[in-house]
Amino acid sequence: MPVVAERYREKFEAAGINVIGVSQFRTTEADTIAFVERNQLTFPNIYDEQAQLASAYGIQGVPSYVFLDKAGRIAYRSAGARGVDLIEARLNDLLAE
Amino acid sequence: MIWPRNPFSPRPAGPARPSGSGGLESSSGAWLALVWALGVILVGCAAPAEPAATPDYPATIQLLLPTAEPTEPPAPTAMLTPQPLTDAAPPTDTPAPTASLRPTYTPRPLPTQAEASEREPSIPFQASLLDGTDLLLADTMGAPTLLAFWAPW
Repeated sequence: MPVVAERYREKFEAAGINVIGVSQFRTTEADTIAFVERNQLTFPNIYDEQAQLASAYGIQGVPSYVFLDKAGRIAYRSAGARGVDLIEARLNDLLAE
Repeated sequence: MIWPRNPFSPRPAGPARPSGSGGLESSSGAWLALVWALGVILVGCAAPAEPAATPDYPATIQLLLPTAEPTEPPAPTAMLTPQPLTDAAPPTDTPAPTASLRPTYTPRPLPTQAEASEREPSIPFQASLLDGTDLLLADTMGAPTLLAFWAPW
């Protein structure tokens, strides 16, 4: 996640790409806040204590990514660690649509 | 010319050895030692040899260590088999495939992006951010959005 945060600060934010972090899975809000501050996750973050969002989006584990297009539809999902370059490429594809 | 004395020739007569300095006692001792040695050898040959102690892990050792028995030479590979001179088949430069013991890593491809017409709508939500402000997912429309599910570990 720190690499995604770094890329967000460098490119995504300026390009108008939204990144929303959702933290849950056997953690506490205090740990989430500490991690956010320590790793400079400047994009909006949600502490999903009851894993409601994860359940709604069918998330099985972390990290997982859900890519939404400009119309708010799910373009595709990705489970497991991915290179940030691949993530950026997908977001650029959605940005170019 | 002076020849060295033959050590196996009979000892020339000389002064008698003093008694008690070896002589017959030494000769008897040698005989006793010889008889004892022969006895030990005979007893050793007659007695059945004790079975060697069986190691606790015979199968493992045998599998891992090369055997001392002569083994048959390995069968020549196809590349070493001499080809008849009349064989008109052209030689191939392709080396024989060898089994690779190193695991190979193949990156898992990203799933194909769904066509725009086939995409399912996202699940709308409203949530409070860590800084206390509210977020409405609908507010992100008009730009691509990445929902990143993560954990602080």
